[in-house]
Order: sequence, then structure tokens, then C-alpha cells
Amino acid sequence: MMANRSGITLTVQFNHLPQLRKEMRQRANIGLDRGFATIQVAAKAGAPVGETGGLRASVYRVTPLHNDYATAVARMLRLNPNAIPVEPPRLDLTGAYIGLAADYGYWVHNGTHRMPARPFVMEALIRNQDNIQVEVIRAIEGAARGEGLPRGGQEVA
Amino acid sequence: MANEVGIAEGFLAARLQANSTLMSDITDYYSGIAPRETPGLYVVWSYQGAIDDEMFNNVRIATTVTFLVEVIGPTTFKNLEAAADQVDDSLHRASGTYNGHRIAAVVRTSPHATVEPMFEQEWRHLGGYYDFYVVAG
Repeated sequence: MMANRSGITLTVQFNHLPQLRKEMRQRANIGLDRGFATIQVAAKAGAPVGETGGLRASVYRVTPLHNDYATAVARMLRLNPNAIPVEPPRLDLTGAYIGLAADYGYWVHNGTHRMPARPFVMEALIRNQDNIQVEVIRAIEGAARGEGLPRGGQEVA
Repeated sequence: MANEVGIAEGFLAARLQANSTLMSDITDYYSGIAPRETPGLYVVWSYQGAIDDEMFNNVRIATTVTFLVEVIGPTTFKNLEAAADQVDDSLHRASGTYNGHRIAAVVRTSPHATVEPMFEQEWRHLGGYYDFYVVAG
């Protein structure tokens, strides 16, 4: 509070730094998850469906807040019982991953010498890569605006 | 301009064609897939995706187009190396024009190698991901 000749000026400052310090990691993870959820949606939308739709169902994401690998495998096997699940990668606490649980996914995606590539995950990643940064920044800046923790990325069927 | 992918692809092909050492090492180069029974070694590129670089008010500055460019053959990685090196010499840090459009730079962002197990023989792929910066015009 300051006093001057014309009267009194009252300045109120909200300091959300303690809240941000407490929630920083969680907010970054929420942003990361939301960004990767966008990529997962785009990858599923671009996935070749073929006869069974098993490959599309096998697209999964692993983030510090979300892991739908088991769900993706179950859906894939329901649609294509002949598919063989590929193990997910081991990630550290800050890692995130979009993967294909179907064993034939790699070859559909990258092609062979007899089959053209269909890089639908890579395309989804390239087109939506900026969203990861945007979502992380948005989640962190929310603390400065005094917002509560945002929700993580959506469940992708 | 809406054909940045085609411009990048045309530039890619022109750069490979201009490398006589590469052309003597390979059968030919193809977009997407080689015709059946094409003998290796050959070069195949596949479009991976693209993203626009924009500034305020959605003014487009450039478009980054990504291709996976591979030398493919039923042989060892060692035997693919010379051709893959020539591909990289032709593309990485290249710049120029194609049909009047400027390609500011080509950059390899990561290498790529795959062994394709077949019953009769193993096919190998060696190459990398290349970003083409096509300037808006």
C-alpha cells in the first residue's frame, strides 16, 4: 500500500509461485499427456483399417499419467485374434510414447521392399508436435492464473 | 502455394539424379515403392508428413516436408553404405530451387536402418529422415 498526494493507491498482487512449485511436475505431465492424446487421436484416424481394424485398435499411448497398452492389446485381439502383441518400451518418469501393439504394425508403418510405407503415426506426430509444447505451457501457465489442475488427456477408444 | 510436398519431392529426385556416383551404384530411385522384381540396390523415399511454419496473422513462411529416404537391397548393411552415403551427400545441407520454388535447406534429422526378414533372403534398408524447408512463395 502506497500513499501519495492524490490519495492512496492499493496494489494487490497474487503470488502463485508456491502453488506452481508444488504442482510443476504434475502440470507438465498433464500437458504432456494432453499433447500425446491429440497425437494418438490423429494416429488412429490415419491408421489403415484393413480387414479387421486391429491395427487401428492397437495404437496406444504411454505417458506418466496414462497407459492404455493393455486396453489396446485387448481391443486388437478381439478384432484380430491372429495378431501378436509387441511389448511396450520401458520409459522413465518423464517419457511419453505412441506405439503400435500389433506385431505387423512396424511393417505397415515403414513398408517393406514389396509394400509401400503408411507412416500414419509419424504423420500424426509431425502434424501435432507443436501441441505438446502448447499443452505443457498451458497447463503450467494455468497456475499463474490461479486455476486448479487441468484434466489429463482423453481416453481414446 | 499448395504443392510443397510435390516441390520437395521433385527437388529430392533432382538431387539424386544429379549424383552420378549414386546413379552408378543403384538400379534406380522410386517414390513410395519400387516395381516388383526390381533388383537391389535401389532408393525409395516415402512421405512422412509436413507442417507449416507460420508467423502472426497466419502468414506462411515455409513448410517443412519430411521424407524417409532409404537404400534397399538383399544384402548387408556394409554393401548399402556407399549408396546411402551418396544419398546423404546429395541431400543433407542441400539448398536450391525447383521449378522456381526455393528450398532453403535440407536436413537429415535421424538415420534409419531396418532388416526385413524374408524366407529366402534378408532385405536391408539404410537411410534417414530428411526435412525439406520449402519457402512460401
